[in-house]
Amino acid sequence: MEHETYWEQLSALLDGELNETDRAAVTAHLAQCADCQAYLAELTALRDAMGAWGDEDVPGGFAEGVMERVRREARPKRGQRRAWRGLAALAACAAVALLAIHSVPRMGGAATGGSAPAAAESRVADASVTAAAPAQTEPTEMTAETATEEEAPTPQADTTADWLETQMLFLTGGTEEPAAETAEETKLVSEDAYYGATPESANAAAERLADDDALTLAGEGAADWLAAHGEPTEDGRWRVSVEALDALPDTLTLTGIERPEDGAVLVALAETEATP
Amino acid sequence: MEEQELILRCQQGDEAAFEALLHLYEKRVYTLCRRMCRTEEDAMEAAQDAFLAVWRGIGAYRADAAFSTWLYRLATNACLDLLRREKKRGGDVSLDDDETVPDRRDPAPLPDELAERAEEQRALREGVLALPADYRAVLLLRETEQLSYAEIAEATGLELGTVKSRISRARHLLRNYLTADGNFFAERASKVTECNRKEAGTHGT
Repeated sequence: MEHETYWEQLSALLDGELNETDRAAVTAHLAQCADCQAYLAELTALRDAMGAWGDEDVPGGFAEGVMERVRREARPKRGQRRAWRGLAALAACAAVALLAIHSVPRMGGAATGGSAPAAAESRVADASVTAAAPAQTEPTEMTAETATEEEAPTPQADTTADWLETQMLFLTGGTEEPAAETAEETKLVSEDAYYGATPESANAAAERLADDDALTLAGEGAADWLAAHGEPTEDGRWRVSVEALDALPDTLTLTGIERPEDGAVLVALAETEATP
Repeated sequence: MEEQELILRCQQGDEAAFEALLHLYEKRVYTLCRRMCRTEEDAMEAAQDAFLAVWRGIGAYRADAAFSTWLYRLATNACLDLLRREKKRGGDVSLDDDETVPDRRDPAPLPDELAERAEEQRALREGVLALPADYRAVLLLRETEQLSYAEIAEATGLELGTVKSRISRARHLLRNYLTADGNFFAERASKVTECNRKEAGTHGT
């Protein structure tokens, strides 16, 4: 119906949110259209009635309730960057932690970054995600020795531990990119969208992993989201439940890996988001 | 104490400053939450969640957005989170975006003008509560908090065009709901139509 094309413009006209050109076009149409005049009249009646609503009385004990909860909290802290804790420890987390994350039903719609975070960059997440793939065997925690071993790994890894070793050496620049994924790995790798991987070089990914292994949340409103869904921790990060991360808005990007404990992980605010 | 100073003190962990900030904004935040939520208990919980989020997040608050806008964002998010939880429990029934209008309860209009006005208000509140929560939020920010589209975009993280279309859509759904209700538009709209006709005549051609 012709009038429907004007409804949105009439609504914006009512709010004074049309530019001069659009306003002129709509008012010209209004002058000769009784239906749109009636429609605008109804929108105006709604606006007047809602605008006349007074403030609500705040229930007794409201502020006290807030303050009680506040006093149970630690002081608000600005985001702090954690010290590098070593690739070996990270590898251990990768082997164990993401297995746990992926045992939680997720992760719904694909998330940020979308379909094809091409290439090796997603190895950061892949290392953890695919860690679960080959295995009937229990994932084996890596030791410092395995993480720094010089010997070139075999591309065709037989066990989770071997596979992880390959990935980790790859990340540290010790080898070329590991062999192509199996079908199962490819499926799991596709879930790295959950981690919000963004295209970057393999070396950059390795550096980022070494330098910043914590889960980091970036994007417009990341600080607000953390404030609403997380609990601040002593080191300036936020403890966020895996369930909350499951419903992470598409506008936010989560990178890094972390071991879930009691159904929650620690998330840092990206520095660009934290700095005033 | 100025708002800006209160914020700075809060960022340093000053609980007294936070309490002052809380009292400054509790009415606005609670009112928004009360209109977003069906029960007083839910509104109270959402509003408290919002202020707790302020406390937790104020260390990272950047002054490039108005504090009130940031606060509206946290309050809106707190309400939407709570309503999502309610919905999972099957407690929230709202209008779908397919223009279906649920059966109305018998409004039983009374002749007394005061009662009519009360009935009108009840219908309006019911209609607003029946909107999808995302739509309800933008409409309330516009109609009762008087935020501009740009401010609503800032508070909700939506694109400006999405704000515009959601407000329009929310009004349209609400209008349909109230038309079905039968008690809202009859007198009001006819009065306003006359005014609009005059206004359109002035602005047009």
